[in-house]
Formats: sequence, C-alpha cells, structure tokens
Amino acid sequence: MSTEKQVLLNVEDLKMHFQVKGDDAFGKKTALKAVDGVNFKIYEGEALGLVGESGCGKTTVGKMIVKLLQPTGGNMLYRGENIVGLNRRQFKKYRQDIQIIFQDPFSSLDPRQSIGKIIGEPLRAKKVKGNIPEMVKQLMEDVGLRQDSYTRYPHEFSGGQRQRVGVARALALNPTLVICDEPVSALDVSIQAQILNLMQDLQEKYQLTYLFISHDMSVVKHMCERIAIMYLGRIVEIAETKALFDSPLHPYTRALLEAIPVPNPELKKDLGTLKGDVPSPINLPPGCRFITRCSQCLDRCETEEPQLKEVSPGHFVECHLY
Amino acid sequence: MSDVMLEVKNLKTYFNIEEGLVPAVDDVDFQLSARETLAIVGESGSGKSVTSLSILRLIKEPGKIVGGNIMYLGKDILKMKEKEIRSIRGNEISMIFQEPMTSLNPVFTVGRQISEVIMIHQKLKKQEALQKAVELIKLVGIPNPDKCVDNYPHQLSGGMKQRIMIAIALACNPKILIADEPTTALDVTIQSQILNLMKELKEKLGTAIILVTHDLGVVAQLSDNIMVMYAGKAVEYGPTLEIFKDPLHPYTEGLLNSIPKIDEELNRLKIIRGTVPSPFQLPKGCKFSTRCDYVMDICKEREPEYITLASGRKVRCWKVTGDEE
Repeated sequence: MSTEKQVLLNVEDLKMHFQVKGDDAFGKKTALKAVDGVNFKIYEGEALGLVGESGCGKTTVGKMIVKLLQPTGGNMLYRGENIVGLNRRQFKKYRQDIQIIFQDPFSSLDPRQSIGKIIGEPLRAKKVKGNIPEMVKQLMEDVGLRQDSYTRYPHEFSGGQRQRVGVARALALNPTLVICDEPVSALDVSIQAQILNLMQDLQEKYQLTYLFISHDMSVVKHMCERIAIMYLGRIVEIAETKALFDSPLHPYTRALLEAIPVPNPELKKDLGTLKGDVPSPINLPPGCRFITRCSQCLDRCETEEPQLKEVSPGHFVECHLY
Repeated sequence: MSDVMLEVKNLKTYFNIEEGLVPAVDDVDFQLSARETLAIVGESGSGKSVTSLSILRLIKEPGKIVGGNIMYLGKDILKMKEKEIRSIRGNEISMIFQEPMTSLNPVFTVGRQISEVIMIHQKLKKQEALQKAVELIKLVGIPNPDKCVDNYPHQLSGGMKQRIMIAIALACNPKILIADEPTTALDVTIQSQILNLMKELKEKLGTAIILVTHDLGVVAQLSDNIMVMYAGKAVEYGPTLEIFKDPLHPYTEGLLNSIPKIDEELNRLKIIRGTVPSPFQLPKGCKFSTRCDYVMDICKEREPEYITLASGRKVRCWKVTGDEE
C-alpha cells in the first residue's frame, strides 16, 4: 500500500546533540545525544506514529522538522529538497506546509490574545488576502468551536477546547504535514476521544499527513498506519501497525507492548518484566543502547552498534538478533 | 462482610471559595475490606483525589469536610483528636501521592525521609531506622540500596522517586494504602514495574489498597472493585469484572467506550459529548444529564438515589432505578 505512495519527507541520519555541562566538578561540556542518527520516511497522506518513553528524543525530532531546532547533523528532504540548510527566509515557503500541534494546551496559547486572534495569526503573518475573520470562523467550525468563542480568551476554555484552538491554528494555512506532539496526553479520556475523532475527520477532509508523536501505544495504534519506536535517540523499529503488533521484533518493542495494562479485567496478565530505567543520553553504552535492559543480548551487542535493517517488506529493526 | 476495615458514609467535602461553594465530594459511600483493592475512577475534577485526602483528613482551607463518617476499624476518623489521627496517618493508613517529582523534600537524603517515618511511629533509634530504610529500598526493587539511602531526590529518576514514595508509605506496614495516581507521571515500562510491585505487596503483606486513577487499563489489571465518580458523586460501584462486562451507568459505559483499545480494531471512538460541567453550574437533577445519551425528563428534574441492586452493585441512575421498580 504505502510503497506506491509518494515520499513526503525523508529523514536521513538526523542528529541533535546538545552541549551540556558534564557531571564532573569543572562542568566540562559534553554532548547530550538527544537524537542520534534517525532515519525514516513519511509518505503522503499517512499517519506515522512516533512512540517512545520520556527523554527518547521524539519531541526533539518533531521540533527539528518544523525547524524550531536546528539539527546538528543529517538531512531532511521535503518533497526532495533538503530543508536542513535553509535559512529562515528560504524556509518560509515551507513553513505553511509543515505545522505543529503542541502537547500542552495550557501553555501553548497566548493568554492575552483572543481565540480569534490566535487562530488568525498565521493568516496575518502570511499576509493572506481576503476576509480573515470569515476564514477564522470557518476554521472554528471545522474544529467544533462555537462562533461566539471568537472574542473570548484561552483561560475561559477547558483543556479539550483549547486543544481544538491549537488544531485550528495549525490548520489555518492549509498545511500538508502536521506534527502532532502528544496532542491528547494532557486531556481526560472522554475529551481525548473527541479530539482523536476530530483529528481523523480533518485528516480525511484536508488530506493531511500526520507525524503523531505519543507515548501511548493504544492511541497511536488507533490513529496510525505505521509506527516507529524510538529508544534513546535512535529508531529501533518501524513497521506497519498490524505487523508491529502481530510480530514485534525488537526486544524493546516487545517489552513496551507487554507493559501496557489492557483495559480488560478478564485478560489479567503479568505486566512486562523490563528491568531498570532508561540510561542517561550523556554516557551511552558503546554498543547497543538497549543493552542495559535487554534480556537477550549477544556478545557483539556490547561492542558493535546495530544498524536499521529491513527484515520483511516495510518492517525495519535495529537489533543484532535479526 | 466481617473484615471491613474502612467504611465511608455520606462523606461531604466542600470548598468554600470566592466564586461560591464547590461540592467537591458530595455524599460518597463505600467500604474497603482487608486485602481488597478498590479503584476510584473518574475524570479530573470528579472528586476522587479529594475523597482520598479526606480519609486522612488532609483537606486544607478553603476545603472542609462538612458531613459524614469515616469509620476505620469501628472508630470515626472525623471525630478523632489531632494526636490520634497523627498516629494513624503514615502508620496504619498511608498514602502515595500523585507526583513523585514534587512530593519528596529536595534537601534531605531519601534515607532520612524514609527513616523519619519509622522513627516517629515505631520509636526506633536513628541507626536502626536507617537500617530498616535500606531494607525497604531493597523491597521496592532499587539496585544498590546501601548507596541509594544517601542519595538526594534529584539524583534519582522518576521511577526511582516513585519507589521511594512507596517505600515511605510502606515503612510502617500500613493496613490501608491509598495510592493517588501512583503511575500517571511514569513511562509504561516503569509503570508496569510499579504495578507489579503493588500486586506483590498486596499478596505478601495483605495490604488493602485504594487506587485512585483515571487509567482504565491500570484499573482492569489491579483492582477487585470499582467506584466511578462524576462531579463529586459516586455514580456506580461494583466488582471490576462485572463493571467492565456490563456497565450500568451511562457515564461508565461512555468511559469504557471512549478509550482506544489495544486488543480491538475500531475505526472511530465512541465519545461522551460535551464536557464536565463547571461546579458552579451543575445541572439540576442528575449531574450527568447534560451529556447522557439516554436522558429522560425525570433526569433533568430530580437527582437519582444511589441504590443497591440485588447483585450488590450500586448505581445512581434513573434508567436503572426505573427498570427496578
């Protein structure tokens, strides 16, 4: 299915190393490898899920794609053109194409602007011709906000309503690719369902492509056709959703799936047995990054870093077991 | 049941704030037996955390417990003197708070924070208490407990901090453990470690657990019974298996339908329309009537009673009450 589709964004060996103070007393600078050589493709019209635990670098990837962060290495080819090297002015023509919905609807809206102003801002910034208030009202209707919200302020709205505002703002310029960074994790379950349904409707209506960043496997499974699993700055497995759930390959993916508490009391299970915490991205183990928590490591895992390889069509894994 | 440890009757905790009176917990009843795990489920603002704080009388101004009884082994916690409740708090009934990141004191080592509880309640000397702290750290599964006692909270990860919180809560072998969203701030793989730990403790020490959460996956895996709360009221109570199989209250049904399920294929999620009403504009009659798909005329007029069915399950809904009559 996805093989016939056009590649919208091709991410190659993307890196983001932050310079941070080291642990020693002199505060010598060391590199925190938040994203350390990530490769993936996003096909036009699909929803790709990016899943991982906190600190694995998934949000950093999203921020680099919208150029809120300048990568320290690698390429991002958007419709064939490398957008990494572009300066602000050169990137401008892509900015409207690539938009982001932020995680926290409580801090991502300016408290001193009315809802109408917030949603209309991208339109004004882009100097769009036409009746901007009318366009904003249309957007508000699309995301299920009442028209009389136009002059109200963010504090008057609940989390779910605010997230709708964030969605409307991201859609204002008719983007192609929308980065959704944990769009529902701050919301209550009943509201979460409303927003997820809304996002699916909008995807269909405007043929959007989503990069859906989340830590919640069940949400990603529901929304995405393909899923990429991230661990400590690397993508360790990418596959179509069904393949990933039916035959997870990487020991980390398997552990993640086992650890999810299933909301069905008749299926009581032993929740995963993955030991330990995610190690710090400052002092990475020399071989495989997962080695400190892996139950199946081989000798070569200690010295040799595995590379992403295609095990079956469309199913990539980065592990020496395969 | 003879081994009832905690019985909450008509608990009312109101907050008197500038904008008006907020009935955060309004007429809540439940029982907890030894070895039982009761899950209190609801969305933010439903009153589940306030319920659990009320049990330990940890409600601060402008909040106040205005009515009801909380019977712990036959004695009413609400009528106890401050000294009495203090000897129970952290000793016989203890609590794991929601955020491990902010619940620990940053300027004391974790060893000192655990041993403080032991020194106060069990009157042990400092050295003995520290020794016990090491044992507890070992019990909650932290590697190198001897080293960990001398660590400050900032040196530990979120999962480790939450384990320390659990160690503090378990320091005096409590009879009842109240866990308020114990895993919400944690990653799934760490969450599963903590949940397994709680299961183990329940089996080993026979602790009764009140689990406050909004995560229905955690509820399904860990609890024996469920109480569902909505807008300060208990709307449904029953065994976990039965509630998941056959929810009686439309809100419970809506909640169960609205989660994306990992073991099922669905194209669209069923939703509960609207949002939780503001506590100042609660609807007359049933509090859920503004969002309910089965709403009838009577729902908008009169508040349904919290009735007990023949099966022992409890529910507050006119649909069920009507069927019964």
